[in-house]
Amino acid sequence: MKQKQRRINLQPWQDSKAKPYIHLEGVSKEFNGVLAVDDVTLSIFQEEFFSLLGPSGCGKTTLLRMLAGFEMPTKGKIYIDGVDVTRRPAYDRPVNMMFQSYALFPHMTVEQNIAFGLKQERIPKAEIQERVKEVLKLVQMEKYGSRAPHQLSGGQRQRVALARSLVKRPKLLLLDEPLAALDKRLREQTQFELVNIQEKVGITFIMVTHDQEEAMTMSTRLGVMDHGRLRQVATPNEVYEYPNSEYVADFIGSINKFEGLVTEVDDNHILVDSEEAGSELYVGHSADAPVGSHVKVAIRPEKMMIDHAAPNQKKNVTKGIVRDIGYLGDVSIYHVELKSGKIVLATQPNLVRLAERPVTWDDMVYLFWRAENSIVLTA
Amino acid sequence: MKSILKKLKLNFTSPFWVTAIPFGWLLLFFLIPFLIVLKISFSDLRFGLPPYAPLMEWTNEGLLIIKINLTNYTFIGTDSLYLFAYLDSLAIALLGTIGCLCIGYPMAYGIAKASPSKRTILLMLVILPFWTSFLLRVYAWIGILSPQGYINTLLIKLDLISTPLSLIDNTFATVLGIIYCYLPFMILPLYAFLEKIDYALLEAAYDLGARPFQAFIRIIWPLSRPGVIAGSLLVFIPAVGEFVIPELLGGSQTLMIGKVIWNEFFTNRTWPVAAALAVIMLVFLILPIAIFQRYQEQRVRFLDAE
Repeated sequence: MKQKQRRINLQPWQDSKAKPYIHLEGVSKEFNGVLAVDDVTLSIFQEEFFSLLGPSGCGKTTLLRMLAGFEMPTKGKIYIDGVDVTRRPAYDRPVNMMFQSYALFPHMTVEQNIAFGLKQERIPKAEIQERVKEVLKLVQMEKYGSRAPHQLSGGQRQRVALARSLVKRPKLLLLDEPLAALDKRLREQTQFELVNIQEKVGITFIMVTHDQEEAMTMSTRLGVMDHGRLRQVATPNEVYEYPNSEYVADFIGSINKFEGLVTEVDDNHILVDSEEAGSELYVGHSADAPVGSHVKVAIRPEKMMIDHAAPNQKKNVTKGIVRDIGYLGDVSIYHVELKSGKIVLATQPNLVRLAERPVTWDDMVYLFWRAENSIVLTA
Repeated sequence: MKSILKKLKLNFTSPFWVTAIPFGWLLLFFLIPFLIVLKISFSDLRFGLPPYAPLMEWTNEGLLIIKINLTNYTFIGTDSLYLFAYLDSLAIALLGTIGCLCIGYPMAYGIAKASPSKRTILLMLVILPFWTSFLLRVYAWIGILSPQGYINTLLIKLDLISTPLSLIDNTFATVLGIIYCYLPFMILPLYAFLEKIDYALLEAAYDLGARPFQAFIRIIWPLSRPGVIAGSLLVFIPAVGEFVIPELLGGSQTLMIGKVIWNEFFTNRTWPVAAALAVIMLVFLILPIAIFQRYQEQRVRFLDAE
């Protein structure tokens, strides 16, 4: 809830005059002739919770490691708070990282682990103690200060790792798949805790994850990566509702796509004739697609309405036979086969009990959606 | 066959048998020989075969006489030669161990950080010298170090020196020989521990502001300490009793206890004194092992502490 509010109040990326806090300028990284990160330019603002999202091997971790100073970019520059840190080693950057494996020092207690970074700065002992205590309280681990890491559960280790990376009050905190090692229930709970902690400390976070749900719930903005390139940088709902490419649309959530020919285009709509859908598709926004070009029209399954009776709309409507129903508790997923043989997914909330479900196997049903709920994908 | 085993209740997978084999081995080849040596160290010298008198004797009157002769030990205390031999041995072994550690640690670290395919080759290279006879390898050093050896010849030819350096028949050559021969025993246990360390820990240390050297001192060194201790014991203990290396490279001025024991056994044929010397050396050497054991236990206790 709090997060939503912040997003309305604070959207520095929409303000053309706002000064980016972290700035990557044409950053590339090559490993033995292979481009792991390919010409990434990205601005991140103070107190943002930014996620880099992508499948494994897309270059997101390499990008993170360049920010941390473990890898040097082959090309490009990295600025943190206006300072060029491109060539600075990891120990000389105002950046801390929370490792995927947590990388807690096994021969030190929890307190010693957390104090490690402060000792490097030669901070007086009394202050170290105080700051360690403070950060342990923040992650709710006050009672575990004298334990060895191997005596902690996975969730507790995760908290210690977070505390250790926060205690130096870095300008930027990097999180490498911070929740990947936790089980599902704990992960969901920790997602919100992490966001709360981030808001409390007011440090800029950049998180790497392959879990789209995690990226959606936690971040102010996210960047979808593929083959070393940033495909889209936007807020979670923009990425979900207006993916700028087929790749992004496929990567985040599931989506139905119909191929078709553009028959009409103007400033506020596009008309697409799709044999695959068996209908004329009216899309409520414009796109860079001339008449006669091939495009894909995409509709999210939850935007698909499903009914026995024909709706009173001529466009954006098709019919088919229910082939399969997946019952997920809160929603059901209908697999509907169209005349063209294409299987369309439609999800419906389970407002009624399972036994009374009106639409069932082998029913002939109409599928329809509103013009503003479909998008044209040209890339 | 199985039924017979069952009848005899011989189940070779039971914990008893699993531990019985190494214990049996130690009993047969360590404890019994040691007890024999201990027995000899308490017996009287005599001329004949064997060159010592039995501890127990039945007399004709049915009397059992047990004679325990402690003079072998007291004799060792009266002659400072033995004390110096012990001290020299400990000093030389210590220098050798330190040398092995200084050379072996960077090597083991390098191997542990090499790519897995290179690691196999590097480990092979460490073990490779074992394929040649130990004696030959020590002998080869004479060719390198002697006044007419390779090093002196080269230096004279280069006009850097006019008279050959005395590189052999001294403590320096002995320590060098020990370092050379025992280096693999240092590298292998060190490598085993260094290889297990998660190098993300090193990155974490850099990330928290530690420079490479500090990160090494505070993370890698403490985590590899069990390997350092294991490697040092593997070098130190056999080096103290070393006989071949001081004999070939140490010359007459190096008097290590191994050589003294050899002299007592074979030159003087005073088996009881030699046996007493060996027993004392063993007691000396058990000490560092006991310290290591204690250290290990403390470590385990820290890691399990609630």
